[in-house]
Amino acid sequence: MISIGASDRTDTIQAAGEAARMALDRLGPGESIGWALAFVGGRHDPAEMLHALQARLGEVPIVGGAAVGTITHQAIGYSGYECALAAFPSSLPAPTIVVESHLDEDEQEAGRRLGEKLCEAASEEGTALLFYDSIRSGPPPVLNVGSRLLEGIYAGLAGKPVTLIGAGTVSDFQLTQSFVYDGSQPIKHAVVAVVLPQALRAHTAIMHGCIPVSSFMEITRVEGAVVYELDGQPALDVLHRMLGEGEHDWQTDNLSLNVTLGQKHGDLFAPYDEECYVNRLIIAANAEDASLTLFEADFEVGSKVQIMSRDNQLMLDSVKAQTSRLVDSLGGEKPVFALYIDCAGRSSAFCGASVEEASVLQDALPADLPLVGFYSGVEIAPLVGQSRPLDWTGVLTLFTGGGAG
Amino acid sequence: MSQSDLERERDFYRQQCDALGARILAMQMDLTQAQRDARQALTTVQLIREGYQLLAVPNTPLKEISRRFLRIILSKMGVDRAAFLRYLPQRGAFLCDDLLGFPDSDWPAFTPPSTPGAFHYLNSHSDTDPLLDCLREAAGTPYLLWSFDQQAEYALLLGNRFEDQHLRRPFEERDREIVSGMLSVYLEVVHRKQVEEALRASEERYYLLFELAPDAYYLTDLEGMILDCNRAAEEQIGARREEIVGRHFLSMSPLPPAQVPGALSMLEQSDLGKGAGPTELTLNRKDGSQVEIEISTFPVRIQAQNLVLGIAHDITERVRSEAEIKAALGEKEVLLKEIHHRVKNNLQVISSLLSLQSSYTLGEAAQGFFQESRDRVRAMALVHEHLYQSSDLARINFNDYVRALVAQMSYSYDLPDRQIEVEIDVDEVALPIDIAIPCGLIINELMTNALKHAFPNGRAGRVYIALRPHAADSFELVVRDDGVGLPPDFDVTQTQSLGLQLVTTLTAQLKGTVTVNTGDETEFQIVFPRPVG
Repeated sequence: MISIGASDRTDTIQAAGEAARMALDRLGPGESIGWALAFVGGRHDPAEMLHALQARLGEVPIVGGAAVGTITHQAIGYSGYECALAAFPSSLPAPTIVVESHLDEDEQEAGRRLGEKLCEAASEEGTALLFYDSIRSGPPPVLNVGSRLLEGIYAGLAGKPVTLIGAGTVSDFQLTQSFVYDGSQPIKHAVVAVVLPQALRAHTAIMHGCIPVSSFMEITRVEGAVVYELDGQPALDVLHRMLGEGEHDWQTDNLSLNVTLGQKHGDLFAPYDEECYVNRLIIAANAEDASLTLFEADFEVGSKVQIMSRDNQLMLDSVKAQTSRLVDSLGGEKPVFALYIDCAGRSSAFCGASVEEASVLQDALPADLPLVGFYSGVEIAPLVGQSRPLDWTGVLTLFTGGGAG
Repeated sequence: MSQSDLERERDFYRQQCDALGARILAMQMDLTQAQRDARQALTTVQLIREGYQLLAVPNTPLKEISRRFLRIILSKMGVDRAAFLRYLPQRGAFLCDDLLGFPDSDWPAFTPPSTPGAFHYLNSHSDTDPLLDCLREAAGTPYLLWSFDQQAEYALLLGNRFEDQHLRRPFEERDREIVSGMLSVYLEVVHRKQVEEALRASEERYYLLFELAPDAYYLTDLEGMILDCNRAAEEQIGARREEIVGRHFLSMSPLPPAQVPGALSMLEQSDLGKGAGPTELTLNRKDGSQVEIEISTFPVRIQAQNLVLGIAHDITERVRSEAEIKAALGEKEVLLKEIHHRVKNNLQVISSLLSLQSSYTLGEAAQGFFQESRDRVRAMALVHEHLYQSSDLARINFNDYVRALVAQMSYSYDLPDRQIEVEIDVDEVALPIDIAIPCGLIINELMTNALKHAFPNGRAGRVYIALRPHAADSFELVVRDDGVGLPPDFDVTQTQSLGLQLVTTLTAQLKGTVTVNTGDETEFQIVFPRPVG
């Protein structure tokens, strides 16, 4: 039985104590904890939290990291004081934990090294949970780029099919700080992967929420995460022309985190299907060179993109539909654990949705299914052939098997 | 359609598509901002809801209320820091009651250069002044919101480290309502909680006063059904509360039949809104023993119901003590009467001895001396006789005494055979022994003197004896005769007469004065202070 604990107490020691006690209380008879996932709000001290958790749970590996907020069946919160814990019983096969650091030097190289370790540790078609520190420096925030990290990991895996599910962690909405737990300590500029035992099988659904509001445009000049030209014109000028200057005060800040560039995979002219899109946030519109800085760096010259707008109703509908679809796809097999990695922008405080999108998920999942989730900066999930860093998504993974249900 | 037309049509649709998309995007962004603002505005509503939930939980510490409120404010307003501050007008300083999001929980008081207004904000475009600088320093952030309730002398300070267009939009004037609303809700909840706590503390105090009162408290309805009682009542009746409550007081503790009407009358008085008692009753305890109580009843009104509060003081010990004292007093009374009786008898023996002794004396003068001595002894014996016959062993009715004394002297001086009338004009006054004896002796001496000297040779006449109030604080004793009168040079202080010397001495004993008036009648007037008590 995977047990969940959570707290939103303002005192770190008390919060850790409450979450740990809750998880321990929900363990099956005679069970002990083998390892745990933990996600912690930015107002807590990460090291103090880890030590307090291990003081209660025992010196078990704890993996996870910073979170804007957390989600369980009992509570959804993002005050910065939340912490949530998923404790895995020692009766389950132990996972393999691999760590790489120095993301701030070269995400791709760090990813490659991690990929090589994963290649050794993971089985064919295996699954690894992946958490990396999203914040390189700031404020203003400079990010560790997830797409470069993933690119490196796949290079290191050398074609070995391993499903990666995870997140780029952040501590708050302002992207001021972040960390990951590598099993025994909180660390910066690192990526940690938990290679799950084969007994646990992962089933993933991606919740979207963006809709195209423009015709297709071709990226004609891009360097890393900075798009300089669309259709041969300065990217920002294209955006301004398209959006209609004068009709609305399109300030840079209004664009960022509200507008995305979406790349449609598959048949471009097929009817709209949210699962065909990879969305990239525009985190900066640079007036000096009329360029756009995206959250990730995986678009290339020749990529066909559209301007996408967030749509709260679409987001809520997507959660409901995708969750039901995923549960139905299990064909009656009972999941033992649900992990929800949710973009912080989807929180009601940020997007203004009338209801918490995560509450739709709570309602759609069986109440007795252990659920832990957290608000992230970047979500990682398989989409259109391989795992990718995603923006504005919620990634739900249901785990089956494990003999611990 | 030509290729050119097709391309133009495609461009047309692309432009239309983009224009529509731009409108959708603009609407979406406006909607998002409106929804965010609405959500922030709902913070006050959530605080109200949270406040009521906290009010419903008894004994919620104020610290927990402030902490939960600050949590909501941080979460819903999306601010970095929030603090509740108490203003100390004497010092002109603000002290922190609770804070959240600050790097240091030990936050010093700060003293602004002037008293802050009800609302201030600071954003990246604001002009600053010393007051705002002080608030900014207190918040430890460049951007802040401030609300101050001057009546409650309480403030809410919010701080942000950053500004952006999303969750951390710049603070501005339109935040006034929401931040002052949040402070008002908090103050209202705290006020209610304090009132509630004070009420609860008061209830607890009164309960303890009720429960631990040394007297037994019984709360009944107007029919006498016991609704509640205290610990002393349990001990008084010798039964547990659950055995007492719900029963009629007469069935719980049967009273002697003679006391039942009185007890029921007390209930009736309560029905009329009047208190009753104290009344002494005898309660039969559960174990069969009895307890004497003195009970008073008071009409009380609790939750719109007229009830009766009976407060019963256990007087078993007092009643027992009183009985013992009464018995002891009775014994002492008998003893005192016996003493007076014996003194009187002894004085009578002395009188008899004097009488016997006089029979062996031949001289008339000596006979007279013996007679006078006998009269004096008998006058004193008469006082003791009256004392032991009196219900008050300390005082005698002086009118009765004087009449008895005169009757006794009449016999000694053969008054029935002489033409001398004695008029007694003594008020009905009770005199203590230490006054009665000197007065009796004075009357004895003056009347003896009159009977012996004022009416020679069968002269008829009248003797007048009076005792009456002279002033507010004194009596006058008058003995007057219309006999032959005193010699012209008579001076009571210089007289050789033993009897008159005794009068002077006894008057001094009474702390009084003696005046002799001569003329047609001879009058001795003795004025002495009225005895205390």
